[in-house]
Amino acid sequence: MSSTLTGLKALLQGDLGFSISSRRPVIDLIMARIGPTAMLASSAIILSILISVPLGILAAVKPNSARDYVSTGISLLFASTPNFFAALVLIYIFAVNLRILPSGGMFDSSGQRTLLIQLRHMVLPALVLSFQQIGGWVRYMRSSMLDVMQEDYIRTAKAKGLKRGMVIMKHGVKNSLIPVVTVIGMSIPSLVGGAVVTEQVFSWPGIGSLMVQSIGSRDYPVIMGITVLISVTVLLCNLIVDMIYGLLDPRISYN
Amino acid sequence: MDNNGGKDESYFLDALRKFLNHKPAFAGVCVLILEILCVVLLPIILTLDPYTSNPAAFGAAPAPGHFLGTDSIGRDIFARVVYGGRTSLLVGLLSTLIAMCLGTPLGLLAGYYRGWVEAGIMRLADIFMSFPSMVLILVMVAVVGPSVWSVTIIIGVLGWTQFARLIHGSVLSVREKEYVESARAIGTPDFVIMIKYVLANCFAPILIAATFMTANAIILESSLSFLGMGVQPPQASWGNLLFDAQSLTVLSRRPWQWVPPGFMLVLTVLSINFIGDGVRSALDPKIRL
Repeated sequence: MSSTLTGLKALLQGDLGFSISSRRPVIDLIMARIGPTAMLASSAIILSILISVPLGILAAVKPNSARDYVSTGISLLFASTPNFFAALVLIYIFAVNLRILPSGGMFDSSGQRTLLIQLRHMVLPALVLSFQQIGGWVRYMRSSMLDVMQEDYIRTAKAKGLKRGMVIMKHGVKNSLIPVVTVIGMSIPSLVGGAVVTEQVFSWPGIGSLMVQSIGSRDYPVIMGITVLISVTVLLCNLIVDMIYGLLDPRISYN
Repeated sequence: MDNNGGKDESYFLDALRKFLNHKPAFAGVCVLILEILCVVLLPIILTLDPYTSNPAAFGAAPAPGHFLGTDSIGRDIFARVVYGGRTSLLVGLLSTLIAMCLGTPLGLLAGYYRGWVEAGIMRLADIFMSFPSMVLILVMVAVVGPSVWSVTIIIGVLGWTQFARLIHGSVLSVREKEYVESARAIGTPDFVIMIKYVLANCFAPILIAATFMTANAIILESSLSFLGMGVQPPQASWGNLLFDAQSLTVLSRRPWQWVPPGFMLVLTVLSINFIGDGVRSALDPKIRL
Protein backbone atom coordinates (compact mmCIF):
# COMPACT_ATOMS: atom_id res chain seq x y z
CA MET A 1 0.00 0.00 0.00
CA SER A 2 2.70 2.45 0.95
CA SER A 3 4.57 1.67 -2.27
CA THR A 4 1.39 2.48 -4.22
CA LEU A 5 1.18 5.83 -2.41
CA THR A 6 4.84 6.63 -3.10
CA GLY A 7 4.23 5.66 -6.71
CA LEU A 8 1.22 7.95 -6.94
CA LYS A 9 3.13 10.81 -5.34
CA ALA A 10 6.00 10.32 -7.76
CA LEU A 11 3.50 10.19 -10.64
CA LEU A 12 2.11 13.59 -9.69
CA GLN A 13 5.63 14.97 -9.76
CA GLY A 14 6.12 13.62 -13.28
CA ASP A 15 8.33 10.74 -12.20
CA LEU A 16 7.27 7.57 -13.99
CA GLY A 17 10.23 5.47 -12.92
CA PHE A 18 12.87 3.78 -15.08
CA SER A 19 12.57 1.49 -18.06
CA ILE A 20 13.65 -2.08 -17.28
CA SER A 21 15.20 -2.72 -20.66
CA SER A 22 16.96 0.56 -21.44
CA ARG A 23 17.48 1.87 -17.86
CA ARG A 24 16.42 5.33 -18.99
CA PRO A 25 13.72 7.36 -17.26
CA VAL A 26 10.29 6.45 -18.66
CA ILE A 27 9.35 10.12 -19.00
CA ASP A 28 12.32 10.72 -21.36
CA LEU A 29 11.39 7.73 -23.52
CA ILE A 30 7.82 8.94 -23.80
CA MET A 31 8.75 12.57 -24.45
CA ALA A 32 10.94 11.52 -27.37
CA ARG A 33 7.97 9.75 -28.96
CA ILE A 34 5.19 12.26 -28.33
CA GLY A 35 6.00 14.56 -31.25
CA PRO A 36 5.64 12.00 -34.06
CA THR A 37 2.42 10.59 -32.59
CA ALA A 38 0.87 14.03 -32.12
CA MET A 39 1.79 14.92 -35.69
CA LEU A 40 0.35 11.68 -37.07
CA ALA A 41 -2.84 11.82 -35.03
CA SER A 42 -3.58 15.47 -35.80
CA SER A 43 -3.05 15.01 -39.52
CA ALA A 44 -5.28 11.94 -39.41
CA ILE A 45 -8.01 13.99 -37.73
CA ILE A 46 -7.72 16.79 -40.28
CA LEU A 47 -7.74 14.27 -43.14
CA SER A 48 -10.81 12.49 -41.77
CA ILE A 49 -12.70 15.76 -41.43
CA LEU A 50 -11.75 16.78 -44.96
CA ILE A 51 -12.99 13.48 -46.37
CA SER A 52 -15.98 12.64 -44.19
CA VAL A 53 -17.75 16.01 -43.94
CA PRO A 54 -18.19 16.46 -47.73
CA LEU A 55 -19.18 12.78 -48.10
CA GLY A 56 -21.77 13.18 -45.35
CA ILE A 57 -23.19 16.36 -46.90
CA LEU A 58 -23.31 14.71 -50.31
CA ALA A 59 -25.27 11.81 -48.87
CA ALA A 60 -27.68 13.96 -46.86
CA VAL A 61 -28.53 16.51 -49.52
CA LYS A 62 -30.26 13.84 -51.55
CA PRO A 63 -31.20 10.99 -49.20
CA ASN A 64 -31.82 7.53 -50.68
CA SER A 65 -30.24 8.52 -53.98
CA ALA A 66 -27.44 6.62 -55.69
CA ARG A 67 -25.03 9.19 -54.27
CA ASP A 68 -26.30 8.47 -50.78
CA TYR A 69 -25.86 4.72 -51.17
CA VAL A 70 -22.35 5.07 -52.59
CA SER A 71 -21.19 7.36 -49.81
CA THR A 72 -22.80 5.22 -47.08
CA GLY A 73 -21.34 2.12 -48.72
CA ILE A 74 -17.83 3.60 -48.80
CA SER A 75 -18.09 4.68 -45.19
CA LEU A 76 -19.22 1.20 -44.10
CA LEU A 77 -16.41 -0.41 -46.07
CA PHE A 78 -13.88 1.87 -44.36
CA ALA A 79 -15.36 1.14 -40.94
CA SER A 80 -15.16 -2.60 -41.63
CA THR A 81 -11.54 -2.69 -42.74
CA PRO A 82 -9.10 -3.36 -39.92
CA ASN A 83 -6.33 -0.79 -39.75
CA PHE A 84 -3.51 -3.18 -40.38
CA PHE A 85 -5.09 -4.68 -43.47
CA ALA A 86 -5.71 -1.24 -44.95
CA ALA A 87 -2.07 -0.45 -44.16
CA LEU A 88 -0.81 -3.59 -45.90
CA VAL A 89 -2.95 -2.94 -48.99
CA LEU A 90 -1.78 0.68 -49.23
CA ILE A 91 1.87 -0.32 -48.77
CA TYR A 92 1.43 -2.99 -51.42
CA ILE A 93 -0.05 -0.53 -53.91
CA PHE A 94 1.87 2.67 -53.26
CA ALA A 95 5.21 1.49 -51.90
CA VAL A 96 5.78 -1.91 -53.50
CA ASN A 97 4.10 -1.60 -56.89
CA LEU A 98 3.92 2.10 -57.76
CA ARG A 99 7.02 2.98 -55.71
CA ILE A 100 5.82 6.54 -55.13
CA LEU A 101 5.64 6.53 -51.33
CA PRO A 102 7.88 5.03 -48.65
CA SER A 103 6.69 1.90 -46.86
CA GLY A 104 7.67 2.91 -43.36
CA GLY A 105 9.83 4.91 -40.99
CA MET A 106 9.84 8.67 -40.57
CA PHE A 107 12.94 9.64 -42.58
CA ASP A 108 14.75 7.94 -45.45
CA SER A 109 18.32 6.69 -45.53
CA SER A 110 19.68 9.90 -47.09
CA GLY A 111 20.24 11.29 -43.61
CA GLN A 112 18.42 14.53 -44.37
CA ARG A 113 15.71 15.40 -41.88
CA THR A 114 13.50 17.86 -43.66
CA LEU A 115 9.82 18.39 -43.06
CA LEU A 116 9.07 17.45 -46.66
CA ILE A 117 10.61 14.00 -46.26
CA GLN A 118 8.73 13.53 -43.03
CA LEU A 119 5.43 14.52 -44.63
CA ARG A 120 6.01 12.08 -47.49
CA HIS A 121 6.49 9.32 -44.93
CA MET A 122 3.37 10.37 -43.13
CA VAL A 123 0.94 10.18 -46.07
CA LEU A 124 0.17 6.46 -45.82
CA PRO A 125 -0.03 6.12 -42.01
CA ALA A 126 -2.21 9.22 -41.71
CA LEU A 127 -4.50 7.91 -44.44
CA VAL A 128 -4.82 4.52 -42.75
CA LEU A 129 -5.51 6.12 -39.39
CA SER A 130 -8.20 8.35 -40.87
CA PHE A 131 -10.01 5.50 -42.68
CA GLN A 132 -11.31 4.04 -39.47
CA GLN A 133 -12.75 7.40 -38.32
CA ILE A 134 -14.25 8.24 -41.71
CA GLY A 135 -16.65 5.30 -41.47
CA GLY A 136 -18.38 6.61 -38.37
CA TRP A 137 -18.08 10.31 -39.12
CA VAL A 138 -19.71 10.15 -42.56
CA ARG A 139 -22.75 8.45 -41.12
CA TYR A 140 -22.93 10.87 -38.24
CA MET A 141 -22.54 13.90 -40.48
CA ARG A 142 -25.25 12.49 -42.73
CA SER A 143 -27.82 11.96 -39.98
CA SER A 144 -27.01 15.27 -38.31
CA MET A 145 -27.40 17.06 -41.64
CA LEU A 146 -30.70 15.22 -42.30
CA ASP A 147 -31.98 16.41 -38.90
CA VAL A 148 -30.94 20.00 -39.49
CA MET A 149 -32.51 20.11 -42.95
CA GLN A 150 -35.89 19.41 -41.30
CA GLU A 151 -35.60 22.44 -39.03
CA ASP A 152 -37.83 25.48 -39.28
CA TYR A 153 -34.98 27.90 -39.95
CA ILE A 154 -34.08 25.93 -43.08
CA ARG A 155 -37.66 26.30 -44.29
CA THR A 156 -37.46 30.03 -43.52
CA ALA A 157 -34.22 30.34 -45.44
CA LYS A 158 -35.74 28.53 -48.40
CA ALA A 159 -38.92 30.61 -48.17
CA LYS A 160 -37.09 33.91 -48.28
CA GLY A 161 -35.69 32.81 -51.64
CA LEU A 162 -32.13 31.95 -50.68
CA LYS A 163 -30.28 29.87 -53.26
CA ARG A 164 -30.17 26.14 -52.56
CA GLY A 165 -26.38 26.02 -52.26
CA MET A 166 -26.49 28.93 -49.83
CA VAL A 167 -29.16 27.22 -47.69
CA ILE A 168 -27.11 24.04 -47.55
CA MET A 169 -23.76 25.63 -46.85
CA LYS A 170 -24.63 28.53 -44.60
CA HIS A 171 -27.58 27.20 -42.64
CA GLY A 172 -27.39 23.44 -43.06
CA VAL A 173 -23.71 22.52 -42.83
CA LYS A 174 -22.83 25.09 -40.20
CA ASN A 175 -25.45 23.80 -37.79
CA SER A 176 -25.00 20.13 -38.49
CA LEU A 177 -21.28 20.40 -37.72
CA ILE A 178 -22.01 21.13 -34.06
CA PRO A 179 -22.91 17.58 -32.94
CA VAL A 180 -20.10 16.21 -35.12
CA VAL A 181 -17.64 17.96 -32.79
CA THR A 182 -18.71 15.59 -30.02
CA VAL A 183 -18.21 12.59 -32.25
CA ILE A 184 -14.73 13.76 -33.11
CA GLY A 185 -14.01 14.00 -29.41
CA MET A 186 -15.45 10.57 -28.76
CA SER A 187 -13.30 9.04 -31.50
CA ILE A 188 -10.06 10.04 -29.81
CA PRO A 189 -9.75 6.80 -27.79
CA SER A 190 -10.23 4.71 -30.91
CA LEU A 191 -7.79 6.96 -32.76
CA VAL A 192 -5.18 6.27 -30.10
CA GLY A 193 -5.88 2.54 -30.29
CA GLY A 194 -5.58 2.66 -34.07
CA ALA A 195 -2.32 4.55 -33.76
CA VAL A 196 -0.80 1.63 -31.84
CA VAL A 197 -1.38 -0.75 -34.75
CA THR A 198 -0.69 1.77 -37.51
CA GLU A 199 2.60 2.97 -36.02
CA GLN A 200 3.73 -0.62 -35.64
CA VAL A 201 3.02 -1.48 -39.30
CA PHE A 202 4.70 1.65 -40.63
CA SER A 203 7.50 1.59 -38.02
CA TRP A 204 6.55 5.16 -37.16
CA PRO A 205 8.60 6.10 -34.08
CA GLY A 206 5.69 7.18 -31.87
CA ILE A 207 4.01 6.22 -28.62
CA GLY A 208 2.14 3.32 -30.21
CA SER A 209 5.19 1.49 -31.44
CA LEU A 210 6.93 2.18 -28.11
CA MET A 211 3.93 0.54 -26.45
CA VAL A 212 4.16 -2.58 -28.64
CA GLN A 213 7.93 -2.81 -28.07
CA SER A 214 7.53 -2.47 -24.32
CA ILE A 215 4.86 -5.13 -24.21
CA GLY A 216 7.15 -7.40 -26.24
CA SER A 217 9.99 -6.89 -23.74
CA ARG A 218 7.66 -6.88 -20.70
CA ASP A 219 8.89 -3.44 -19.76
CA TYR A 220 6.11 -2.75 -17.27
CA PRO A 221 7.15 0.75 -16.09
CA VAL A 222 7.02 1.99 -19.69
CA ILE A 223 3.68 0.26 -20.33
CA MET A 224 2.24 1.84 -17.19
CA GLY A 225 3.62 5.26 -18.07
CA ILE A 226 2.12 5.16 -21.57
CA THR A 227 -1.25 3.98 -20.27
CA VAL A 228 -1.37 6.82 -17.75
CA LEU A 229 -0.37 9.35 -20.38
CA ILE A 230 -2.94 8.10 -22.90
CA SER A 231 -5.78 8.14 -20.37
CA VAL A 232 -4.92 11.66 -19.24
CA THR A 233 -4.78 12.80 -22.87
CA VAL A 234 -8.15 11.23 -23.62
CA LEU A 235 -9.74 12.87 -20.58
CA LEU A 236 -8.22 16.25 -21.50
CA CYS A 237 -9.51 15.92 -25.06
CA ASN A 238 -12.99 15.14 -23.77
CA LEU A 239 -12.88 18.23 -21.58
CA ILE A 240 -11.73 20.41 -24.48
CA VAL A 241 -14.47 18.99 -26.71
CA ASP A 242 -17.09 19.76 -24.06
CA MET A 243 -15.83 23.31 -23.83
CA ILE A 244 -15.81 23.79 -27.60
CA TYR A 245 -19.33 22.40 -27.73
CA GLY A 246 -20.49 25.01 -25.24
CA LEU A 247 -18.89 27.75 -27.33
CA LEU A 248 -20.44 26.53 -30.59
CA ASP A 249 -23.91 26.02 -29.19
CA PRO A 250 -24.68 28.72 -26.61
CA ARG A 251 -27.96 26.96 -25.74
CA ILE A 252 -25.86 24.51 -23.75
CA SER A 253 -24.61 26.12 -20.58
CA TYR A 254 -22.73 24.76 -17.62
CA ASN A 255 -24.71 26.03 -14.67
CA MET B 1 -45.52 -11.64 -23.88
CA ASP B 2 -48.28 -14.21 -23.26
CA ASN B 3 -51.34 -11.99 -23.09
CA ASN B 4 -50.74 -9.80 -26.08
CA GLY B 5 -49.27 -12.47 -28.33
CA GLY B 6 -51.10 -11.29 -31.43
CA LYS B 7 -49.79 -7.76 -31.32
CA ASP B 8 -46.25 -8.82 -30.46
CA GLU B 9 -46.14 -11.27 -33.28
CA SER B 10 -47.20 -8.70 -35.78
CA TYR B 11 -44.50 -6.35 -34.52
CA PHE B 12 -41.82 -9.01 -34.85
CA LEU B 13 -43.12 -10.25 -38.18
CA ASP B 14 -43.22 -6.68 -39.37
CA ALA B 15 -39.67 -6.10 -38.18
CA LEU B 16 -38.53 -9.36 -39.76
CA ARG B 17 -40.10 -8.40 -43.08
CA LYS B 18 -38.45 -4.97 -42.93
CA PHE B 19 -35.14 -6.63 -42.09
CA LEU B 20 -35.32 -9.08 -44.98
CA ASN B 21 -36.28 -6.28 -47.36
CA HIS B 22 -33.10 -4.44 -46.41
CA LYS B 23 -31.01 -5.90 -49.24
CA PRO B 24 -27.51 -5.35 -47.79
CA ALA B 25 -28.61 -6.89 -44.50
CA PHE B 26 -30.08 -9.89 -46.28
CA ALA B 27 -26.85 -10.33 -48.24
CA GLY B 28 -24.93 -10.01 -44.97
CA VAL B 29 -26.96 -12.78 -43.36
CA CYS B 30 -26.39 -15.04 -46.38
CA VAL B 31 -22.64 -14.42 -46.38
CA LEU B 32 -22.37 -15.03 -42.66
CA ILE B 33 -24.40 -18.26 -42.74
CA LEU B 34 -22.32 -19.50 -45.68
CA GLU B 35 -19.13 -18.63 -43.81
CA ILE B 36 -20.19 -20.43 -40.66
CA LEU B 37 -21.19 -23.50 -42.70
CA CYS B 38 -17.83 -23.49 -44.51
CA VAL B 39 -15.85 -23.04 -41.34
CA VAL B 40 -17.71 -25.82 -39.54
CA LEU B 41 -18.15 -28.32 -42.37
CA LEU B 42 -15.20 -27.89 -44.74
CA PRO B 43 -12.58 -29.34 -42.36
CA ILE B 44 -14.78 -32.43 -41.95
CA ILE B 45 -15.57 -32.88 -45.65
CA LEU B 46 -12.18 -32.05 -47.14
CA THR B 47 -9.96 -33.27 -44.26
CA LEU B 48 -7.96 -30.05 -44.26
CA ASP B 49 -4.69 -29.95 -42.39
CA PRO B 50 -3.55 -26.47 -41.30
CA TYR B 51 -0.56 -27.61 -39.24
CA THR B 52 1.55 -30.05 -41.27
CA SER B 53 4.09 -28.44 -43.52
CA ASN B 54 4.74 -29.69 -46.99
CA PRO B 55 8.54 -29.81 -47.42
CA ALA B 56 8.12 -29.75 -51.20
CA ALA B 57 6.39 -26.38 -51.18
CA PHE B 58 7.76 -23.54 -49.03
CA GLY B 59 6.01 -20.29 -49.85
CA ALA B 60 4.58 -21.79 -53.03
CA ALA B 61 2.18 -19.90 -55.27
CA PRO B 62 -1.39 -21.15 -55.68
CA ALA B 63 -1.38 -24.46 -57.58
CA PRO B 64 -3.72 -27.48 -57.86
CA GLY B 65 -2.32 -29.16 -54.72
CA HIS B 66 -2.54 -26.02 -52.60
CA PHE B 67 -5.30 -24.00 -54.08
CA LEU B 68 -4.32 -20.81 -52.20
CA GLY B 69 -0.60 -21.60 -52.03
CA THR B 70 1.49 -22.27 -48.93
CA ASP B 71 3.16 -20.11 -46.27
CA SER B 72 6.88 -19.76 -45.48
CA ILE B 73 7.00 -23.16 -43.80
CA GLY B 74 4.84 -24.96 -46.33
CA ARG B 75 1.46 -25.01 -44.59
CA ASP B 76 -1.63 -24.90 -46.78
CA ILE B 77 -3.08 -21.37 -46.79
CA PHE B 78 -6.61 -22.47 -47.65
CA ALA B 79 -6.72 -24.82 -44.66
CA ARG B 80 -5.30 -22.10 -42.43
CA VAL B 81 -7.87 -19.55 -43.63
CA VAL B 82 -10.71 -21.99 -42.89
CA TYR B 83 -9.35 -22.83 -39.44
CA GLY B 84 -8.56 -19.16 -38.86
CA GLY B 85 -12.19 -18.42 -39.58
CA ARG B 86 -13.18 -20.86 -36.87
CA THR B 87 -11.02 -19.02 -34.36
CA SER B 88 -11.95 -15.49 -35.41
CA LEU B 89 -15.70 -16.11 -35.58
CA LEU B 90 -15.61 -18.00 -32.29
CA VAL B 91 -13.74 -15.20 -30.51
CA GLY B 92 -16.11 -12.60 -31.98
CA LEU B 93 -19.29 -14.41 -30.97
CA LEU B 94 -18.12 -15.65 -27.57
CA SER B 95 -16.77 -12.30 -26.43
CA THR B 96 -20.02 -10.66 -27.50
CA LEU B 97 -21.91 -13.21 -25.44
CA ILE B 98 -19.73 -12.45 -22.42
CA ALA B 99 -20.20 -8.70 -22.87
CA MET B 100 -23.96 -9.16 -23.27
CA CYS B 101 -24.25 -11.27 -20.11
CA LEU B 102 -22.35 -8.64 -18.12
CA GLY B 103 -23.65 -5.44 -19.67
CA THR B 104 -27.36 -6.23 -19.99
CA PRO B 105 -28.10 -6.84 -16.28
CA LEU B 106 -25.96 -3.86 -15.26
CA GLY B 107 -27.67 -1.53 -17.73
CA LEU B 108 -31.04 -2.88 -16.62
CA LEU B 109 -30.30 -2.33 -12.93
CA ALA B 110 -28.93 1.16 -13.56
CA GLY B 111 -31.91 2.23 -15.62
CA TYR B 112 -34.53 0.62 -13.40
CA TYR B 113 -33.37 1.65 -9.94
CA ARG B 114 -31.87 5.04 -10.81
CA GLY B 115 -30.30 6.80 -7.84
CA TRP B 116 -26.97 5.63 -6.51
CA VAL B 117 -27.15 2.30 -8.35
CA GLU B 118 -27.32 4.18 -11.62
CA ALA B 119 -24.65 6.65 -10.59
CA GLY B 120 -22.31 3.84 -9.55
CA ILE B 121 -22.76 1.66 -12.63
CA MET B 122 -22.79 4.41 -15.22
CA ARG B 123 -19.79 6.27 -13.75
CA LEU B 124 -17.93 2.94 -13.78
CA ALA B 125 -18.85 2.62 -17.46
CA ASP B 126 -17.52 6.14 -18.07
CA ILE B 127 -14.24 5.21 -16.41
CA PHE B 128 -13.92 2.09 -18.57
CA MET B 129 -14.69 4.08 -21.68
CA SER B 130 -12.11 6.76 -21.01
CA PHE B 131 -9.39 4.21 -21.73
CA PRO B 132 -8.89 3.40 -25.39
CA SER B 133 -10.08 -0.22 -25.56
CA MET B 134 -7.19 -1.33 -27.77
CA VAL B 135 -4.62 0.01 -25.29
CA LEU B 136 -6.37 -1.45 -22.26
CA ILE B 137 -6.73 -4.84 -23.94
CA LEU B 138 -3.05 -4.82 -24.98
CA VAL B 139 -1.98 -4.09 -21.41
CA MET B 140 -4.22 -6.78 -19.94
CA VAL B 141 -3.11 -9.35 -22.50
CA ALA B 142 0.50 -8.48 -21.68
CA VAL B 143 -0.18 -9.19 -18.01
CA VAL B 144 -2.31 -12.34 -18.42
CA GLY B 145 -0.48 -13.78 -21.41
CA PRO B 146 -1.87 -14.11 -24.92
CA SER B 147 -4.10 -17.04 -25.88
CA VAL B 148 -7.49 -17.55 -27.54
CA TRP B 149 -9.23 -17.72 -24.20
CA SER B 150 -7.54 -14.76 -22.56
CA VAL B 151 -8.24 -12.61 -25.63
CA THR B 152 -11.90 -13.70 -25.75
CA ILE B 153 -12.48 -13.07 -22.06
CA ILE B 154 -10.67 -9.73 -21.99
CA ILE B 155 -12.47 -8.38 -25.08
CA GLY B 156 -15.77 -9.65 -23.67
CA VAL B 157 -15.33 -8.27 -20.17
CA LEU B 158 -14.22 -4.86 -21.43
CA GLY B 159 -17.14 -4.78 -23.88
CA TRP B 160 -19.82 -4.58 -21.18
CA THR B 161 -20.01 -0.77 -21.39
CA GLN B 162 -21.55 -0.76 -24.87
CA PHE B 163 -24.41 -3.01 -23.77
CA ALA B 164 -24.88 -1.25 -20.45
CA ARG B 165 -25.08 2.19 -22.03
CA LEU B 166 -27.51 1.32 -24.80
CA ILE B 167 -29.76 -0.73 -22.52
CA HIS B 168 -29.65 1.86 -19.75
CA GLY B 169 -30.87 4.48 -22.20
CA SER B 170 -33.73 2.38 -23.42
CA VAL B 171 -34.75 1.20 -19.93
CA LEU B 172 -35.08 4.85 -18.90
CA SER B 173 -37.89 5.31 -21.38
CA VAL B 174 -39.49 1.87 -20.95
CA ARG B 175 -39.72 2.16 -17.16
CA GLU B 176 -42.05 5.16 -17.46
CA LYS B 177 -44.54 3.24 -19.63
CA GLU B 178 -48.06 2.59 -18.32
CA TYR B 179 -47.73 -1.19 -18.38
CA VAL B 180 -44.73 -1.01 -16.07
CA GLU B 181 -46.60 1.29 -13.75
CA SER B 182 -49.65 -0.99 -13.68
CA ALA B 183 -47.46 -4.02 -13.02
CA ARG B 184 -45.92 -2.11 -10.13
CA ALA B 185 -49.35 -1.09 -8.88
CA ILE B 186 -50.57 -4.68 -8.59
CA GLY B 187 -47.49 -5.49 -6.54
CA THR B 188 -45.37 -7.43 -9.06
CA PRO B 189 -41.90 -8.00 -7.62
CA ASP B 190 -39.18 -5.77 -9.10
CA PHE B 191 -37.19 -8.55 -10.71
CA VAL B 192 -40.27 -9.91 -12.45
CA ILE B 193 -41.07 -6.46 -13.85
CA MET B 194 -37.48 -6.03 -14.94
CA ILE B 195 -37.33 -9.31 -16.81
CA LYS B 196 -40.87 -9.73 -18.04
CA TYR B 197 -41.74 -6.18 -19.03
CA VAL B 198 -38.63 -4.04 -19.19
CA LEU B 199 -36.06 -6.44 -20.60
CA ALA B 200 -38.51 -7.90 -23.11
CA ASN B 201 -38.99 -4.42 -24.53
CA CYS B 202 -35.26 -3.72 -24.71
CA PHE B 203 -34.81 -6.37 -27.37
CA ALA B 204 -33.88 -3.83 -30.05
CA PRO B 205 -30.91 -2.14 -28.32
CA ILE B 206 -29.54 -5.52 -27.20
CA LEU B 207 -29.55 -6.83 -30.75
CA ILE B 208 -28.07 -3.61 -32.12
CA ALA B 209 -25.32 -3.59 -29.50
CA ALA B 210 -24.62 -7.26 -30.22
CA THR B 211 -24.01 -6.74 -33.94
CA PHE B 212 -21.86 -3.70 -33.27
CA MET B 213 -19.87 -5.55 -30.62
CA THR B 214 -19.30 -8.66 -32.76
CA ALA B 215 -17.87 -6.61 -35.60
CA ASN B 216 -15.68 -4.73 -33.16
CA ALA B 217 -14.51 -7.87 -31.36
CA ILE B 218 -13.45 -9.52 -34.62
CA ILE B 219 -11.42 -6.43 -35.54
CA LEU B 220 -9.85 -6.26 -32.06
CA GLU B 221 -8.92 -9.94 -32.03
CA SER B 222 -7.38 -9.76 -35.48
CA SER B 223 -5.43 -6.61 -34.59
CA LEU B 224 -4.08 -8.24 -31.44
CA SER B 225 -3.14 -11.42 -33.30
CA PHE B 226 -1.55 -9.33 -36.04
CA LEU B 227 0.66 -7.68 -33.41
CA GLY B 228 1.50 -11.13 -32.03
CA MET B 229 -0.41 -10.46 -28.80
CA GLY B 230 -3.50 -12.50 -29.62
CA VAL B 231 -4.03 -16.02 -30.88
CA GLN B 232 -0.63 -17.70 -30.90
CA PRO B 233 0.71 -19.81 -33.77
CA PRO B 234 0.51 -22.62 -34.78
CA GLN B 235 -3.19 -22.04 -34.12
CA ALA B 236 -4.53 -19.95 -36.98
CA SER B 237 -6.69 -16.82 -36.81
CA TRP B 238 -7.35 -14.34 -39.61
CA GLY B 239 -5.25 -11.80 -37.76
CA ASN B 240 -2.17 -13.90 -37.18
CA LEU B 241 -2.20 -15.17 -40.77
CA LEU B 242 -1.37 -11.59 -41.68
CA PHE B 243 1.48 -11.45 -39.17
CA ASP B 244 4.03 -12.67 -41.74
CA ALA B 245 3.03 -9.86 -44.10
CA GLN B 246 4.82 -7.43 -41.77
CA SER B 247 7.96 -8.44 -43.64
CA LEU B 248 8.27 -6.66 -46.97
CA THR B 249 9.32 -9.82 -48.82
CA VAL B 250 6.15 -11.68 -47.90
CA LEU B 251 4.08 -8.57 -48.55
CA SER B 252 5.47 -8.00 -52.03
CA ARG B 253 6.27 -11.53 -53.25
CA ARG B 254 3.51 -13.66 -51.74
CA PRO B 255 0.21 -11.80 -51.84
CA TRP B 256 -1.67 -15.13 -51.71
CA GLN B 257 -0.49 -15.46 -48.15
CA TRP B 258 -2.08 -12.28 -46.78
CA VAL B 259 -4.83 -11.22 -49.19
CA PRO B 260 -7.28 -14.13 -48.54
CA PRO B 261 -7.40 -13.83 -44.73
CA GLY B 262 -7.59 -10.03 -44.98
CA PHE B 263 -10.37 -10.25 -47.54
CA MET B 264 -12.31 -12.67 -45.33
CA LEU B 265 -11.93 -10.28 -42.39
CA VAL B 266 -13.29 -7.31 -44.33
CA LEU B 267 -16.10 -9.42 -45.83
CA THR B 268 -17.15 -10.74 -42.43
CA VAL B 269 -17.06 -7.43 -40.60
CA LEU B 270 -18.82 -5.71 -43.49
CA SER B 271 -21.58 -8.35 -43.46
CA ILE B 272 -22.05 -7.93 -39.73
CA ASN B 273 -22.20 -4.15 -40.10
CA PHE B 274 -24.80 -4.50 -42.85
CA ILE B 275 -26.82 -6.80 -40.60
CA GLY B 276 -26.53 -4.23 -37.82
CA ASP B 277 -27.80 -1.57 -40.20
CA GLY B 278 -30.75 -3.74 -41.15
CA VAL B 279 -31.55 -4.54 -37.54
CA ARG B 280 -31.40 -0.89 -36.62
CA SER B 281 -33.73 0.25 -39.36
CA ALA B 282 -36.14 -2.65 -38.72
CA LEU B 283 -36.33 -2.37 -34.94
CA ASP B 284 -35.59 1.20 -34.03
CA PRO B 285 -38.85 3.09 -34.33
CA LYS B 286 -37.04 6.42 -34.39
CA ILE B 287 -35.38 5.57 -37.69
CA ARG B 288 -38.45 3.85 -39.08
CA LEU B 289 -39.90 6.13 -41.70
